[in-house]
Amino acid sequence: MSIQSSIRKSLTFTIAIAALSWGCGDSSTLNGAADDRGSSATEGAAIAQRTKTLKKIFRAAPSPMETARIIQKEGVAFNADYLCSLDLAEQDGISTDHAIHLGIYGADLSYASIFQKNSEALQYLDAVKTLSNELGVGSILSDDIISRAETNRANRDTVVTIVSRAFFDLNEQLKAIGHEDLSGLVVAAGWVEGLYLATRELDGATDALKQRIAEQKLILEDVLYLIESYSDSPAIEGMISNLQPVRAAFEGVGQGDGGVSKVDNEDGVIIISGGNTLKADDETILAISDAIALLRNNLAKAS
Amino acid sequence: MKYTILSLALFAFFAAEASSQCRAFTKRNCLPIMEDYTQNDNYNAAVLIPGDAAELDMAFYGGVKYRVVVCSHPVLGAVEFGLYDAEGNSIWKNTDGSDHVDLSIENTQQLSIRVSVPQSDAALIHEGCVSIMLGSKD
Repeated sequence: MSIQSSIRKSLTFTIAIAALSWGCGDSSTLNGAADDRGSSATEGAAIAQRTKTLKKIFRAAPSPMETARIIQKEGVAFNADYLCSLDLAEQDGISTDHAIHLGIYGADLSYASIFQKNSEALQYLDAVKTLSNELGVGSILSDDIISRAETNRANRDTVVTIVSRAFFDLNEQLKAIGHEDLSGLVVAAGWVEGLYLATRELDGATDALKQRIAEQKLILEDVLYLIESYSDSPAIEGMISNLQPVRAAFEGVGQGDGGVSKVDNEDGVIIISGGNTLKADDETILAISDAIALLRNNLAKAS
Repeated sequence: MKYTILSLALFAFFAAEASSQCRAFTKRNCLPIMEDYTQNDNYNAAVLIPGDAAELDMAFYGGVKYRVVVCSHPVLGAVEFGLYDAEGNSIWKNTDGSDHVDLSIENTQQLSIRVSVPQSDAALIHEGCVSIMLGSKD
């Protein structure tokens, strides 16, 4: 059989299966099972390509926006001097460097947005766009989105929504084009920058802020768990290795006394009260601060 | 050899097509359920079949309000999901068929979201998109 004949047969088979898949999706609509919210009942469903069941494990970590929010709540003041230099966006480098710098800028952008520092936020949004272009996912920050952010610069909630949506799309796009490792580097670098910003001014830090820093031990485990799933990438291996001194600094974090967790339901909202708290003494907080500053300053260097 | 390559190409085509549809489904159907909650950066969606399970573990900050959305294509039926603490104790289950739950946590802790797609006795097995989304607000 010729190659052309094989290809023709395969294409015919492909089209037939595709038609069958879409057709079966339509039958869901006829049976009234389709979701009203979707404009297409077939979107997101098809005839199964496998029969063996599996357990899908997702990995995630709190976003820099969430961290920036809790930093602000604990009384940390905004200081633009601690933000990373914007020069990195204009420098040449390989994709893994761009991903790391994108993560750092994402955290800086989140920090500026939460503190409503509009001018800085827009500068970092532009830098994020530049690096996104370098990574081939520039379409997530269209001129229209940048323009919307500029128009709504005085509205914190709108800017936060635009930034969060952009980073969600970025994560999704990087995964879609097979660059899960780069998405992992963005998450890891974003966490490093977020903790770096949280630990810059510890003189007079409240116990609540110290507790928030201690809690980052859990977030670090999330970040490591997430990037370890892409450990076949040398850049990810490097990041895991770079995070080890930070992990060691967190070993001084201990459990406080929060008692047993209690779960209530108040008007449909699940309230989880109690449970163990994480605590760290000043020495441990300082060790964390030093370790994260060393790592962050290395990551923020030009390649 | 030729057939193997072509079969692999076909499989890759369908996998890419399914993932692409899953992304579109998530944006169109799941994001709106977030309402005024700010979504987490992580995109967690997969194409699952009846009998599949999924799990997401993540730390949740104390003092923050969260919404957990588990959004699935109707072709998969009534997808079940629940919240569990770090020791595996059940906190909540969507026995009412809800596609989301709001929660507030006093102290930062690790929680697990476990999803299971019900078995199906249909002759034709469908696969469908399942998305787990997390949102937060002050």
